[in-house]
Amino acid sequence: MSGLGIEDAWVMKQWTMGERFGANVVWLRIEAGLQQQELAARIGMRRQVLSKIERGEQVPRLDTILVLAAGLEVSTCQLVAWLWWDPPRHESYETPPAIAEMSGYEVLDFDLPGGFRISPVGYESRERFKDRLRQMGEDPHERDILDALSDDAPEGPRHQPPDQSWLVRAGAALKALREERGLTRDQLASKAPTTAAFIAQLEEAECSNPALRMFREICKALDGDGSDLAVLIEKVAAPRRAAREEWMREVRRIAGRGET
Amino acid sequence: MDLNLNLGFDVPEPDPKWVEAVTSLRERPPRTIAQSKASAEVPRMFAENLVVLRRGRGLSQEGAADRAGLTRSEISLLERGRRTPRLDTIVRLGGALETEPCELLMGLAIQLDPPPKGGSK
Repeated sequence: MSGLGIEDAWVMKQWTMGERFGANVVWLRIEAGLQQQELAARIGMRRQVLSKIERGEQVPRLDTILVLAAGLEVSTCQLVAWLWWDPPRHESYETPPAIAEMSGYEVLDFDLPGGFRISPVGYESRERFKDRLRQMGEDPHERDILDALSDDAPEGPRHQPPDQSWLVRAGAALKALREERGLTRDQLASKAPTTAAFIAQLEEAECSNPALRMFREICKALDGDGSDLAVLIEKVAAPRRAAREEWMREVRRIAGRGET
Repeated sequence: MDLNLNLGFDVPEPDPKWVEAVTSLRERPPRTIAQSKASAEVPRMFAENLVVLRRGRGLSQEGAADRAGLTRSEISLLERGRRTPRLDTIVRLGGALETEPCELLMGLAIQLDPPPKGGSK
């Protein structure tokens, strides 16, 4: 990580929503050439409150945001720039574990070879991501990621969604295991990274392309090693794993470093 | 918006229903709210935007609530103008509707009250 510059530290900082907004306020206030006191007086706010907002200790309400925009004489869009929030997409995204392990990052919504994003700052293009890896040095794992991201790398394996009969059986197995453990959906949802509503969808086989990872996490939360559910998961996971390994081999071969 | 942003992935064609919703908000005559009336007027105007944009995405209140990680009753309160959203709620709703938070704030502007006599030094 020593290769990181100030800008990277800034990108990788775990901003809270309030801090991100506060940074916008400070930036625009300084651009407008205003002191904290002056801005506060202009909009009829106590300076202490403004200071709290600027440090991100207070998340403002909409009317405060609009008043701030008026006081700074900027558009609302300028004031709320750089703020995103990504809804969870359990169904459609799955981080390729190979990449997650190699990079050591919790890579969110990594869908090779397409988009890449760092929450909560926003999006980062592939080029930017590659640059950052290059700056970080010549770690062999990082080389692998760079290869996987290179423009002539073959597309990552596209998983077929599991068929309906598998979904029904897995849903039934999940329900049986949950009931065996004496848990309600809500109790299970508090142990696994998902919601009761999504668990219900899985059990009723209503979600047509669920991420296998969700099943794995739920199975883990239910302490379900060796259960019917675990067997069913493995049945789908094994060919996917093989496809991924095949793909990584192909990537390395194209990168000209032979089979490893 | 003709910005050619390189986001590292292809931006799909926008849905015509969504475009229609956004255009209808954009073409609304601008209204500026007096600062003294902000707490009453702002939630009502935000409610209008939220309803139009949510329908533009073809989402139900439940659907939007689910994606934004809010409850349906919160959305319902917001859409009836009974509640002023906080910044984090706005950004979450922006994410749920797959848009920038600032689209949700279209047409909302405040006219500052004149400072009270001797208020600023």
